[in-house]
Amino acid sequence: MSSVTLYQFLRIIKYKLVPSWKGVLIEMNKSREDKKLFFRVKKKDKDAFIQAYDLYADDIYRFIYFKIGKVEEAKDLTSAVFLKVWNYAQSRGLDESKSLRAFIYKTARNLIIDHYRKMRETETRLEDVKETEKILEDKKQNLVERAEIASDIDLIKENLNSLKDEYREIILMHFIDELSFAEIAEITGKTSGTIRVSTFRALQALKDLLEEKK
Amino acid sequence: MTDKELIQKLNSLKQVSLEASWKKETRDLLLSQISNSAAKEVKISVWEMAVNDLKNSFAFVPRAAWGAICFVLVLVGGGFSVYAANYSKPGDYFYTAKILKEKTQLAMTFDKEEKVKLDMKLASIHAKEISEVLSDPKTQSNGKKAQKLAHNFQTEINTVKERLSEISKIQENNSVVAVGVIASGTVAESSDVKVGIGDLQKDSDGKILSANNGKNAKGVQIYIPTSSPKDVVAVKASTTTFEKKLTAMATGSASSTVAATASSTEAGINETINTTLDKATESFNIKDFTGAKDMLEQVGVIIEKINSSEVKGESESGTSTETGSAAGAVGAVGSSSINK
Repeated sequence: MSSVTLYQFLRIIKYKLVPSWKGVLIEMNKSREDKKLFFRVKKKDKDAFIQAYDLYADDIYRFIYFKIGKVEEAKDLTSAVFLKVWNYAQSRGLDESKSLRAFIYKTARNLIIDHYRKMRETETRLEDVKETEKILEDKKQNLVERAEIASDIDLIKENLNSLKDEYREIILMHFIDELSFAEIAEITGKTSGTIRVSTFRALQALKDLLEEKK
Repeated sequence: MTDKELIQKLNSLKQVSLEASWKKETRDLLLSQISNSAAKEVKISVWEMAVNDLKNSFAFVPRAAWGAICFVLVLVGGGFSVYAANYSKPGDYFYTAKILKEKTQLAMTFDKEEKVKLDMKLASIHAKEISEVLSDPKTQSNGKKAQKLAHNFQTEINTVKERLSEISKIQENNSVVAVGVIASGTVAESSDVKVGIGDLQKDSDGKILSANNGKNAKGVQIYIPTSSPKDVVAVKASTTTFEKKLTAMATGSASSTVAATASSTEAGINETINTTLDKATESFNIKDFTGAKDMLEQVGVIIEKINSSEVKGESESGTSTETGSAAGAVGAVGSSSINK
């Protein structure tokens, strides 16, 4: 694998991989909120845990859904993830983790791996395009808009499927769920520098795929 | 497709989310499950929460940034305190810092003479500052402070006097070393003013003690005829600027002439400073602080001149002339010049 050239690096900076100043502020606020919740969950505060569920359930569901490709299974796994997080906090505490969000994702990842093992599925395919409308959030959009978004999602979904697992995961976490490099590093157990590079490569790979199809 | 467009498309995937009804059901389910597991209600104190919050607020600042922030703070703080100290007056909070700075300065001065001079200068500045502070009616009304300052004033004045006598002692020793002995009877041709050397050229056995610094225009030449019982000393102060303030003297036996020359000139300056200091003390005692301050300012000027003229290689006569002029500035030149 060749290293990232200066040109590529500049493009990373240009496109949001390094967030804008405003983005940094939002990120800071988010992480403060997360740390507050984390502190309370560590202290076994139920309300905090429920708040964390409200905050992260959608993200975790989406993450799982795009990895295993089945709505019902993704839902089951989502609730399982949260229950596991709570039990873990109860029994062992969460001291080794830095952020609650990262810890939840880590748990989700492990559960997905377990799920794979159980299903003995080496190849994972996302569901039919027809199902896309079903999973869309029920916002009051007009039909044209909805259809447009659905087609976008279908396009990405198809191509995400062809990407290797590592890249798919990174794209999901960074561009869709907006996790920071540090958080992704914590979840995957890699360094944040490696994640930075992988993120760029994953984006490039996805782009190549999309262009190929055209 | 550009990266930006692609990222926008990726963002549209955010639309994928749980149905509200399922989410609520699951929440209730979770709540019932965790309620069974938790042994007791947990209460987190406001204080605990606040401490944690504070910790988190600073957590985003990287360690390197902390280093930089501390460095800048130290720089700014240091700069400010030095500034504040320089402009502080006796009794101020920062005055101690100023004194400390001066003590360091003294400790860093290794030349003994320089050290004494610096100490004298600092003491006179302190005395001046004290009278300045006391000339403010606010300070005068503060009896305890005023009393303490008055005591300090006396100490500073005494220090100046002590240092002054120390300086003349040191210079006395130095002058003996500095004065060279010339065996020949020639007298510098370029001298404009010669006092009491009428028969100098005739006497070839005489000695000329010279403290000339190499310039013809300035310098002390002391002529000691070996045969004559009475010594003739010529002091050449023929610089164009100080012509009027000519200092000349000729006294004593052959052996003591040199020392006498130096010390009597010095004595004149010292006397001037001492008188001015006494006047300042008098003014101070009758609570004329502005007067005292003015006197001390004059002393400061003289001291400054003494200090600045003492460049290496400058002769004793150079000093005498310079200090003579400074003394003249305070109107006490008479006491410093002895004409014979």
